[in-house]
Amino acid sequence: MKKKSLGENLRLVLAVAWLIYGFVVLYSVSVVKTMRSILRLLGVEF
Amino acid sequence: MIDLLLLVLIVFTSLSLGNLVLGLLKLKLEGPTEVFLYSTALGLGLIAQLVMVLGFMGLFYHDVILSLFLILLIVAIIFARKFTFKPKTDLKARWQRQPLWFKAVIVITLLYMLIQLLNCMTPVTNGDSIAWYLSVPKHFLENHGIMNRQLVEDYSSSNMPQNLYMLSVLGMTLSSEILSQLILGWLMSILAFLAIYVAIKSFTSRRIAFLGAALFYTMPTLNWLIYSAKMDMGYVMFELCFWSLLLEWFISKEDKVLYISAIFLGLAIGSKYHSLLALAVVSIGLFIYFLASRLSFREAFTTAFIFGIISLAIGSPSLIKNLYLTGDPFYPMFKGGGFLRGEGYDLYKSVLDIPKFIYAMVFGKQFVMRPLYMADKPLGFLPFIFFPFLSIRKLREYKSMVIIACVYIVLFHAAVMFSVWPFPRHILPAVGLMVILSAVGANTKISLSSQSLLGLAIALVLLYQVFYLAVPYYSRDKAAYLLGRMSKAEYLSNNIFDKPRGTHMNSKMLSYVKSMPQDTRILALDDGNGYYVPKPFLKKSYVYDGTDIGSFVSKCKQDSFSHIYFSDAGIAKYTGNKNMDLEYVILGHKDEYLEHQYSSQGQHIYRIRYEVAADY
Repeated sequence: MKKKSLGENLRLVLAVAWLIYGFVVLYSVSVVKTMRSILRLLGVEF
Repeated sequence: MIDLLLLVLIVFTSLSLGNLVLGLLKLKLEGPTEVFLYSTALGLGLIAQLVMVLGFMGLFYHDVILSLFLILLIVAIIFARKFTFKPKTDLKARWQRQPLWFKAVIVITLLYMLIQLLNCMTPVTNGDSIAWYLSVPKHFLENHGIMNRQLVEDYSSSNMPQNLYMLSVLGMTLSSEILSQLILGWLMSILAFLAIYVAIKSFTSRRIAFLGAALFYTMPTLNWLIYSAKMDMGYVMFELCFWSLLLEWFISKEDKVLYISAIFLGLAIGSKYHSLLALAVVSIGLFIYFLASRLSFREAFTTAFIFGIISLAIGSPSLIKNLYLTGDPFYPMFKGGGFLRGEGYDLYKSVLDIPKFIYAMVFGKQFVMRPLYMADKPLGFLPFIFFPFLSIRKLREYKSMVIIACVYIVLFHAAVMFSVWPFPRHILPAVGLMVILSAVGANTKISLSSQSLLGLAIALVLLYQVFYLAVPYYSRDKAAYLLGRMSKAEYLSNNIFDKPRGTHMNSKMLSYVKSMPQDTRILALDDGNGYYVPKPFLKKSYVYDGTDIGSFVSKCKQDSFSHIYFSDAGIAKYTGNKNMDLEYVILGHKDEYLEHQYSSQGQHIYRIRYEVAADY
């Protein structure tokens, strides 16, 4: 398999960082809300 | 179910007619996707223009429109060519060759398309659609034509380009507004998806093309546009078809392809004024490109001129209508910002606001996660995933094409940014083009290979995004309606008319309005969503005008309004909004100028007492 160059690795890191950042900004609140609802359904009080 | 069947008939008719025309123009198309995309899009444009001819002639009668469609259907059957939709390679073998993450992307996207199809098969509840985009064709049908001066006054949106209104008229005539929603929302979105796919596929692999199209299709802002009867999806589709063909012309350099791309740009201009910017940028860009390619001035001018003339000619019927009725072919484009002026959305005033604007478009928030006052959903971050992989060397290969497209993207963004509507839905053609260019210019061969972790991450995020977008639209009522266990009236009652804290006229108020005299015209102080209201029911920008009650009453009289409607919830929505700073002058003089007629669950109808304001 062809070994990735430093530039390619950097681009990959940037893309993954963008995915993580975007997901946190757009969906982290909804993830927390969903988790909270699931926990409530399971009977966990907090 | 009948709506779906009719949709299939419309697609078949468009496909066959469009294919016939493209065959006559001798456009060489590669593969079934291109045939389906360009033929259907052109066929839809053709049908829209023919319906518009009936509108010009005052022949909007059910039987006439139905006859036109039947004639077109017969012509389509007679001239139906043998479409070879069988791919050259075995689909099963091709599927098995794909990596797991890409299989997941395909399944998620197809599932999302199916969910949106089911959404669009339920009655229209989108606010803008029932306030404007369905009300206008409804009034066209009631008035049996499009040449109506009262409508020019009543709905400024009735003067917008007509192509998509005409398809809505066809949908309403053949079945109901649900069919209009299926055409303007779902079908257009599928064709827009294909336009992006085809454009990228001309330059790079099918996998990247599908991924780019899927990331565009699943953007949060498209989610509600697909499930509506708004104009955005249709005009974006026509414009992306234009860009797709124009990019193909940069490879083939055949004049014929350039001129056929101009037809699609004309159809986009006939659907929304925004496309005039593409015409201006591309015409000038082509002229400069030809000169730079050492073509003589005359040749460069002639080719760019023919391109522009074809576009304008195809888009001209709507412009001619406006010229005749208002004296301004582009009415109401240069007449101010409508209701939204002063409602606090125009946040970006200088070039220093560009980062704020871009962040708002992508995330729908202020940096980092502060809430933002915006009447739209964001673009999301996924369509920009190709950006880190952009290769200067690859972009250089298509230098002139990239420069023209980039000038268009920048100007389009600037125009929307400084407007009173800086919303993601208004920059969609530029976003689509950005996705195409970034996918074409990205070097993703290694990073999105078979064993790609990035591909897997994209698939997972896409799955969550689609789940997040689809769930709020799921309801038991929707399932009950689709299974035939709930009537349309009951569905509408549960979901808009009598919805708790809703602002639409409730069922009792609708019954009361139905019993009012024939010449009743109602001015709405809050939403004015009149599609389901049985009498003229409009909102005018002067409901917010200053403090001059005399001027207000005079304008009401001029527009022949007999009654005023408002709901407590609707008024609270507007006056309670800190960003708007609105004042209803009439509510301060209610006892003096209004006579109570009927109230139901916080909704009120008053008669305007013109006799008190005789001096005005």
